Amino acid sequence: MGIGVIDFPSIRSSMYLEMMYKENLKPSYIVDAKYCNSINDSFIFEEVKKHSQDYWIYTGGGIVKDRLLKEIKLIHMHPGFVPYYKGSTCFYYSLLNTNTITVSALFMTGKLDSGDVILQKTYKTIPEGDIDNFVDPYLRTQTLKEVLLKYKKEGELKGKKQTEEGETYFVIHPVLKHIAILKARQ
Amino acid sequence: MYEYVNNISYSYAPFRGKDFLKDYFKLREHKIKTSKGKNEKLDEQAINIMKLLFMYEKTKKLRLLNTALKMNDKICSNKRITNACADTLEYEIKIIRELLNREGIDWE
Repeated sequence: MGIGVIDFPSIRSSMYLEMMYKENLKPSYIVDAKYCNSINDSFIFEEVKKHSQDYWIYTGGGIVKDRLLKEIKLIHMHPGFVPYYKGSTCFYYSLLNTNTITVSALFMTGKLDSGDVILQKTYKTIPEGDIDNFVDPYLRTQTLKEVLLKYKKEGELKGKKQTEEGETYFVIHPVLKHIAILKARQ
Repeated sequence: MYEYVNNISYSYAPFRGKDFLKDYFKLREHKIKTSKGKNEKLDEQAINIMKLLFMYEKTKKLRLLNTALKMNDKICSNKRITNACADTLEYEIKIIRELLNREGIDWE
């Protein structure tokens, strides 16, 4: 038993796996999901049932169906301070509002970004580089490292319920995205 | 700018720095200048956008401004916009300029 990874090939999943091998926090099993359309694909369901793990790390996006959530505990690194920033492109909204970026590690539920929170980390200094392709996956990876270290130390991961309703955001408009990036670069 | 509405997902909008904002203002201002007359359907949408922008000014909730920007994009994808739509674009531009000033971003 340990922590497995459901690997949807992307920059983010590459960064996750690179960090896990580098920091000696290797996953105990990897489900190669490159031919799957979504997390709800039956291949993934069969794989995680066959190779039981304490937790699974999810590297993709989208809503997970109950069938899978009944079988496993799925960890998602959400790029926003839940419950106040749920949904999509939250990095940009929080840059505009607070000039910081927060990553929340949470257990996935059937509702968007509403699961119990394992830990949250706020980054006041934003690394240089493309936000979508570098900063976002990099900061998620840094937070995941803390989650894995916590698991290594404590042997389990506990989540804290979200008590407030918060705000759900949709994909940011390019004008606001540009303002957020220009602001972060100042 | 308007191609984002129908063809390209907003999330894939590449970062183009200040040039993007210059183009945004240019395109919006061009639409305002060429607006003419009334159209019941478009005017109804313009009222909804006005409401969103007004609510944004009151609450500063970016979610509202984001929706208004997307709705205005849709309106701009029409060949000819109405006078009421031009009013919403002017209001939106005013808000975006204020936001840029507030953040101290020199976009010119």
